[in-house]
Amino acid sequence: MNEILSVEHLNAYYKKKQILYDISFSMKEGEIVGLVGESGCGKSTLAKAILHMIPKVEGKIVHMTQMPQMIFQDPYHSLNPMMKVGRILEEPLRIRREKNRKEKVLSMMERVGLEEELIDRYPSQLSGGQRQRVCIGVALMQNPGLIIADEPVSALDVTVQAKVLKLLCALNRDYHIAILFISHDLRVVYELCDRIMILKDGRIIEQGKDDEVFFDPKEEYTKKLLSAIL
Amino acid sequence: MNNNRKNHKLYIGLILAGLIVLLILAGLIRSPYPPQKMEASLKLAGISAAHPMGCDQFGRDILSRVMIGARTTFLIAFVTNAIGLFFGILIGALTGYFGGFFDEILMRFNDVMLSFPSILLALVLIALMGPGTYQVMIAMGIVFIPSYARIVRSEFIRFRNMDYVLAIRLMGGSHLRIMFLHILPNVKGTILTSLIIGFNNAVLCEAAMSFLGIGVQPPDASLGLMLSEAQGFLFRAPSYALLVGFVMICMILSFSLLSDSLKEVQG
Amino acid sequence: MMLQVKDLSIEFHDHLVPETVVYDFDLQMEPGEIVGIVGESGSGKSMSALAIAGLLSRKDMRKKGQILYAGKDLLTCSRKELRALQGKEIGMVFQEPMHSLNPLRKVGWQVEEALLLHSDLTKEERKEKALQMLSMVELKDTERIYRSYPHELSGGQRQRVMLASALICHPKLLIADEITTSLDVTVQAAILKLLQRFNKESGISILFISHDLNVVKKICQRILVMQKGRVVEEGTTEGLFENPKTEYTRELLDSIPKIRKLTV
Repeated sequence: MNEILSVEHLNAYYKKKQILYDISFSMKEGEIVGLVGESGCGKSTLAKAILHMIPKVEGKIVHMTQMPQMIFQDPYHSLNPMMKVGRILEEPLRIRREKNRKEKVLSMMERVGLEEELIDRYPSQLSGGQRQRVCIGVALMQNPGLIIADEPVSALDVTVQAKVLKLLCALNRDYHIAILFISHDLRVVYELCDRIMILKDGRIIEQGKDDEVFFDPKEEYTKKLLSAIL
Repeated sequence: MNNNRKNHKLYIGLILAGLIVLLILAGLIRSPYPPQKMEASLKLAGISAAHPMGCDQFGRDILSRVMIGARTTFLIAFVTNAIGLFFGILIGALTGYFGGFFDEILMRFNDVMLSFPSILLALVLIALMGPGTYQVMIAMGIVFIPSYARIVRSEFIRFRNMDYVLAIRLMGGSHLRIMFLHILPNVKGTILTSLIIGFNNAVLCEAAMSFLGIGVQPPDASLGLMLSEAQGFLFRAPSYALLVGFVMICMILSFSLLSDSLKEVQG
Repeated sequence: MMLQVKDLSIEFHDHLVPETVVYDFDLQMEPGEIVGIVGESGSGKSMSALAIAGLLSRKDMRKKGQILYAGKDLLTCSRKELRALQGKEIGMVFQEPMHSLNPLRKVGWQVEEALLLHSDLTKEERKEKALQMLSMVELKDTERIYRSYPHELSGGQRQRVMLASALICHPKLLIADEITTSLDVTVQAAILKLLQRFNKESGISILFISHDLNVVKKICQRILVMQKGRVVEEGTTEGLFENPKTEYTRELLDSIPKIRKLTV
């Protein structure tokens, strides 16, 4: 299998403060990798650094295909509140000046499990789960090889969480999209991911196969994370 | 109960605006008398059937002059705010979205502009350009730019780091597209609010400038100019000042009420 | 019986069409009990809690039924009586630790505020009490936290501060609305333990509201399940988990993440 992303010796700074220290990892096509850490450990910074959205970065980030797409935590801020769902999904097509946009939007809505009549709704008229589906649809419109999902289910109800996770899992299986799944909840990460990395204070302190990390953690910190959920 | 109150606002606003529009439109087509025509025998004549608002100190029909004057005042307020808003949005959007060195320079310049009383600044500009209706529009328009720029800028700063803007950047959307298609519509509400204040300020500012004799020049008419003329005869012909003032109040009130209820319907 | 809610219905009247958000809500709480209300967003669980805390507007909402706290009906008693209960007898903590503290005031002042309203203590006594409370909620370095502003604290610290300010007058009932939802799992666990400790030590009753059955299970003795404004199931925690009666509860139980791989 080919590599889709490789990060080597990445240091990132924000306002002169170092946030990430010497991060190195790589992802293969169609792989789901979980990145676990508590708030403030730099996991969102890592996501933005991978997308070249942090100005001060040292190290090497190599994307094998085009830019990855991102799904955000807060479904209230990740959609333009003044645009209808159909128009939001159409935006990437407009930017690329594609034809038959309406059909593509409708087929995408079906793919991510949104009813057709939602096309004329504004984001404020949707539930959290529906919004997150719109975000996933927007990301998929660009046929990415890799999706970075930053806490995509943390703000959702548990019943909705399960459905959104299933959608991500199905996309990975059907379209072979790699997912970098960022979360603070090891349990959710274990459900979905093939490989788990534990981030603490800007450093990756443990990484390995899902079962290894989950059932046989090496680090004290990982054990602490696990004890919180069991 | 809540809803009825909203409706009252809308109806009163609509009626007042209708009156003003009627006045202006009627003046465009045909005023009862030529607005500049003087009649020595009718100097400061009171209200009568032939002259519903009476006559001024030169015996000119006040109703006819109010028709013309309301139009001039409205036009000045409109153009002033159009100029202020256009450049304000442009400057505010660019500085707010990009930030950095350019932003610092422009905003400090902005602070300097804002630290003068606006009428004083307009006075200086008029002194450079000379008095007259168009000069007033330009001078006031320039004076209005900084406050709009400031408001738009702060809104752009609020939106530029939102997740959905990052998402558009990931799609490869250009900065201009993000600024004017994805952020500006979200700022609409705030701009509308400041537009109401701006419009009312412009009407009052025009009145003040005409009052000082550096605004609209006689024999042209504007509400401000007429008010300043009327104050000389406040005791001999109180209806002159009162009626002109009333029209001015109607104009301001109708605009605020309409935009208020419009905002409530939207929000 | 410390709290008894009978046939509570809440109707919104601020839109054109009145909208009922809670139907016939019944709840009894004994002193020292921890009761959980579980439901998805929009199920009316927060509305019921706000009503019990006496925080719903009396103008735009019509409420039917009774909320009896120590024999007094919170829906009909005077505002003065209600205010005397709020903060002193009934404390409430909300979900968003970012928004529930005043960003312009130092933490210490906010923790003390309830004392200012409900007691005659002097400034020094209040400060001493506040510091004591901050260490009760297991915050380290209380002097520093007392002097800091909310933005200088982490989410977990802020939630602890909220707990301290809600508990400083030793209320008999604490209403906790989704207080662990926006926190990291490790911090969640710590906050739950803290609540349990308070319950055991001071016998405070807790009405714990959450969308996450897994969290509720850890601390509640009794659980109410709400859906679309109605209580669809009520029972002891073990009873509910072992033998759920309604389809909806079963669905909620199923959505708890299990230690297993997701399959589609």
